Amino acid sequence: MSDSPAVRLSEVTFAYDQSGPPVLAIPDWSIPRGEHIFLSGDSGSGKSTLLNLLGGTLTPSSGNITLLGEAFSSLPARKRDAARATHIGVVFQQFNLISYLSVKQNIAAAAYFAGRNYRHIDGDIIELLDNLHLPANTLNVRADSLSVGQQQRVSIARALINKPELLLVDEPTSALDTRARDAFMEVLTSVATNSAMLFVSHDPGLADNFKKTLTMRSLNEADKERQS
Amino acid sequence: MILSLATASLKNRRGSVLLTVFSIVISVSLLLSVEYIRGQVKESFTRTVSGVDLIVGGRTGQLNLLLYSVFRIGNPTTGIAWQSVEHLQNNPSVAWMIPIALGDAHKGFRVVGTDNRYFDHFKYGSKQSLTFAHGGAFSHDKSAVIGADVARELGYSIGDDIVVAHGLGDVSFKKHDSHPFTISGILAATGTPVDQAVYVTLQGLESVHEESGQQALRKPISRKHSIQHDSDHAEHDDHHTDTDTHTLSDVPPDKISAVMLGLNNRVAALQLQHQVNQYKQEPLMAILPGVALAQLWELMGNVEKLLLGISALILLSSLVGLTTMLLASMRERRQEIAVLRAIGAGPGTVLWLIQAEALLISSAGCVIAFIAVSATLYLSADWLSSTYGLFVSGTLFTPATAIVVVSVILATWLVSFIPALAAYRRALHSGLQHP
Repeated sequence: MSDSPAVRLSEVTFAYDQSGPPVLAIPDWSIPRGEHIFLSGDSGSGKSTLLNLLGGTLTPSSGNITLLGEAFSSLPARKRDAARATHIGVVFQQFNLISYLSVKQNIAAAAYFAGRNYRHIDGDIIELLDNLHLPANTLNVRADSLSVGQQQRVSIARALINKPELLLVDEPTSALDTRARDAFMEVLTSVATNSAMLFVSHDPGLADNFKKTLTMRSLNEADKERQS
Repeated sequence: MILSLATASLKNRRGSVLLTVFSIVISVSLLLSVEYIRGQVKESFTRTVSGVDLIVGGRTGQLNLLLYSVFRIGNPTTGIAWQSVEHLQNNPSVAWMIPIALGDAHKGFRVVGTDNRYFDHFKYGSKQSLTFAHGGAFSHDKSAVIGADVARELGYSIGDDIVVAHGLGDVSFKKHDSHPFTISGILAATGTPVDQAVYVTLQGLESVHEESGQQALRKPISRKHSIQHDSDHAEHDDHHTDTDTHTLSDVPPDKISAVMLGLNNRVAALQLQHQVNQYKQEPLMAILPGVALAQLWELMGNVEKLLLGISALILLSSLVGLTTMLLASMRERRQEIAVLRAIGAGPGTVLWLIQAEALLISSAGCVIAFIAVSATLYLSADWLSSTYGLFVSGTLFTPATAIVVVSVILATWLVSFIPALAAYRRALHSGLQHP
């Protein structure tokens, strides 16, 4: 099982309208464990659909998705949620911390949903914050009191607290200036060394941070057909 | 974690949450108060008389006899001749009896003609005997014993003279000014109608009415007993001013209003009741106080149900307010729900989170209401007892109030499904991207 990729898509199609053409069609694709992939694509190319399929909030119209070699898309919703909590970390475009929760609560919530004893993870949280250059005294600060840069780091900490095998990163730098963007990429790539990462962005300038890059057009057969 | 998430979420919306909690506090307080006061009124009501197995009076309605003999409400339509009373007394089943004569008042308080057996045998609450706060029972024919409320409201003390008036109003034009009674005792408070009456001797009351020409209910049907004592009466009347202020005579009255009976064996109550109801010499009626009290309470229960119904409607409106508040927050919580989903929360978790918030609001409302009602009852206990004769006792933690609280929590849980299902549906369709 350790040889299996972090995630594999086999003959996956997805259509929002079952009678219409699929918006996503991927014959066979996988992300090996520990590999960081940069995925770019235009609006409407199926990036969001792909992320939702990989995260398990959508299920394919046909085909299968396996996570760490085990069935994922065919799992009942509840088990899929649990698998997502345990094995997948997500970093959003707007970081999307829960504003009224403290830094600690935001991160601990992710641990709780993964079934961990969230009362005894202070050490893990502090270590993560330290790696992300966040002082420990931010632990009990409300998320909406943090600067944008600090919120970025907390969102990364929340995504990594369960040491996920797969990290899904969705346009996290779109609202940042060049300097902040570079700092964010440096931090992200340095702490996510043990996770496979799919970094989705329409900014080709970020591709230099990745050894492997992909476009939605090359990945999504449905997009190819639409373009042709 | 769900609870800490729910608590933090509620703190974040503290303005609307506090208003909702306040509305629930009001409605739960009303429900608790109604339920508690109802229990206390019922207890006060049922504690008015205890240990009396039968009450016998002139033939009338069961409730009328109970009302005038125990609660001093209304008047007897007819009385019992003393010879009938003696007949009852001679019944081997009867252990003791208390004669009662009604019809007079003192400054708005009912005057009860009786004898010292009243203080010996009458019981209230859980078979508690009457006790004297000051002084003692009748020592002569012109003795009077007053209830605790009478003493407090009129400021009487031992040795004061009081004058009874014919009729029941606060103001009477037929006062027996020349025949004052002297207070010999003040009863300790009981929380029953006992506190609100003036007790005088049957003989004193009889002599007052005979001399003032007011025979009222005491006109004899049969004078057999009196005939035997005509000469005694004449002598007694001649010297009553001297004798009735020094001795306690045992000259019986001609007629009284009712008699309370204690039996040697309570099993005999039904049999004796039947005998009394079939009594040939005079139309009499016997009632079992417990049964009559239950019947009376049943009549009063409709008011209680109405109050409870109104309180329940107020609670319902509060719960609708709670639901509305949570539903209104759903729009602003789209992002929050999406984030929770992305980090692994299932739709069921989101549903439970919203329900936990509703239950926290409702529980906080119940706790605050409990404290508020307890404090209010504690602080107003004296006022309730003096103004309404309602003795507040014990704790608010009763099975009945527990049922109220559990019902409120259960109702909250049920109505919280409305916003929770809205959140659940939103969670089902929520993707990993920011909304």
